[in-house]
Amino acid sequence: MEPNNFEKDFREKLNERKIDPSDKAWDRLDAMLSVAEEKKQPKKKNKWIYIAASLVGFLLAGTFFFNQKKTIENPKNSVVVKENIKKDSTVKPAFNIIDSAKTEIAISEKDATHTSVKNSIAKKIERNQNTNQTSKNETNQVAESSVIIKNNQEKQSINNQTSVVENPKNSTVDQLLNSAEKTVVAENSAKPKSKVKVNANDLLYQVDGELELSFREKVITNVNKNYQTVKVALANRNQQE
Amino acid sequence: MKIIHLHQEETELIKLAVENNRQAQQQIYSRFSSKMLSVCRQYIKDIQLAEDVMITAFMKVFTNLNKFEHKGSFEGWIRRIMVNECISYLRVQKKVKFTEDEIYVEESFNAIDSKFSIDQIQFLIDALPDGYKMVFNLYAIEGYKHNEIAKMLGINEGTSKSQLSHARKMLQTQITILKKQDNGTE
Repeated sequence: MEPNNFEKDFREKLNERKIDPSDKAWDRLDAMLSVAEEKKQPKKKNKWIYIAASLVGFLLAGTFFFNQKKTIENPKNSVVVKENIKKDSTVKPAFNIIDSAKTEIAISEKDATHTSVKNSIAKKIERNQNTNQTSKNETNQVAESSVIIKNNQEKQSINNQTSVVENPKNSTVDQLLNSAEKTVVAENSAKPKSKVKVNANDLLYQVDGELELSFREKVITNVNKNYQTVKVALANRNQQE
Repeated sequence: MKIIHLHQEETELIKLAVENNRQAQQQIYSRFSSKMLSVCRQYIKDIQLAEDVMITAFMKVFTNLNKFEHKGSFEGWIRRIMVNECISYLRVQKKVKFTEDEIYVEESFNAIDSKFSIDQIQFLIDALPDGYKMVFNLYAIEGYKHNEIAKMLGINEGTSKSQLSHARKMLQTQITILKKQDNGTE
C-alpha cells in the first residue's frame, strides 16, 4: 500500500509542535499535588503515633511490674517482725499457767535480778528485731528464713527463761537463786551464739554476691524470695489461727 | 556522553520527584508540558479543556511515578498517560460512541505530496468526528496497532479499521479542498 505521505507529514509536524500551557497551569497542578500530599501524610503520622504509644505503654508496664515487686517485699518484712513480737506476748501467758509450780515470791526478793534479766531480755529482743529488720531490708530470703528459724528457737528459749523467772511461786529462796543463776548463765551462753549467727559480714557478703548476679539470676532469686516470703507468711497466718 | 549524562540527570530528577520534591516535579513539568499540551490538543479542540486534561494527566504522572521502571523513554511513558487521559476524557465527558460497523475498504490513497502548515493540519484533524479522530491519532500519529487501539477504546479490531478508513477518506476530501483553495490563492 502506498504510504500516505500526508500522514507522515502530519506525524512529523505534530510531533515537533509545542504549545506552551498557561502560567496558571503549574499553579493548579502544584495545588493538586499539595492536596494529594496532605491526604497521604496523616497516615504516616498516625503510624508514628501508634509506635510511640506502644513504646510508652511497654515502658509503663515494665516500671509498674518492677515497682510491684519492691512493694511486695517490704510489707513482708514488717509482717514477719510483728508476728515475732506477737508470739512473744502470746506464748508468755501460756507458760505462766503451765509453770505455776514455781514460786512467785522471788518477784519481790529478786527484783534487782529480775529487772536486770528482763532488761537484758528486752534488749536482746530489740536487738534481734533490729538485726532482723536490717538484715531483711538489706537482702536475701535465704538469710531471712534462717534468721526467722533462729529467732523462733531463741524466742522459745527466752520464753522458757522468762517463764522460769516470772513464775517462781512455790519454790524456795535457794531454788529461786539457782534458777536465776541458771537463767543468767543460760542467757549469757545462749545469746552471744545467736549474735554470731546473724553475722553482718555474712549478710554483706551475700548482698555483694547478689549485686554481681546477672538479670536472669536476679529474676530467679527474686522469684525464690517471693515464694519463700509467701510461704512463711502463710505458715505464720496458719499458726496464728 | 551527553545523552548518558542527560539520562542520569533524568533518573535523578525522577527519584527526587517520587519523594515529592516539588522543584523536581516542576522541572519535569516544564520540560514536557508544552509537548504534552500539543498531544492533548490533537484530541481536544478547546485549548482550555486540553490544558485541564493535561493537568490531570500530569497528576497521574506524579502519583504513579514510582511505577515507572526506567525501561522505555520517560517521555514515551508520559505521552502514553496523556493519550489515555485524552481518550477517557472524550469517552466519559463527551460520551463518544463508536458505531460498530466493520465494513471498510483498504483504499489506496493518492499520494499527496503537498506540505501543510501545522495549523492547517490541526484544522483538518479538528474537523474529524471524535471517533474518527481518536483512531486516526492513535494509528497514524502515535503508531499504535489496530489490536492495541481496539483494547484502548474497548471496540472491535474491525471497528478500529473501519474508523480509520473513514477518517482517511474524510481527510482526503478535505485535503483536496484545501489544495484547491491554496492553488486558487496562489
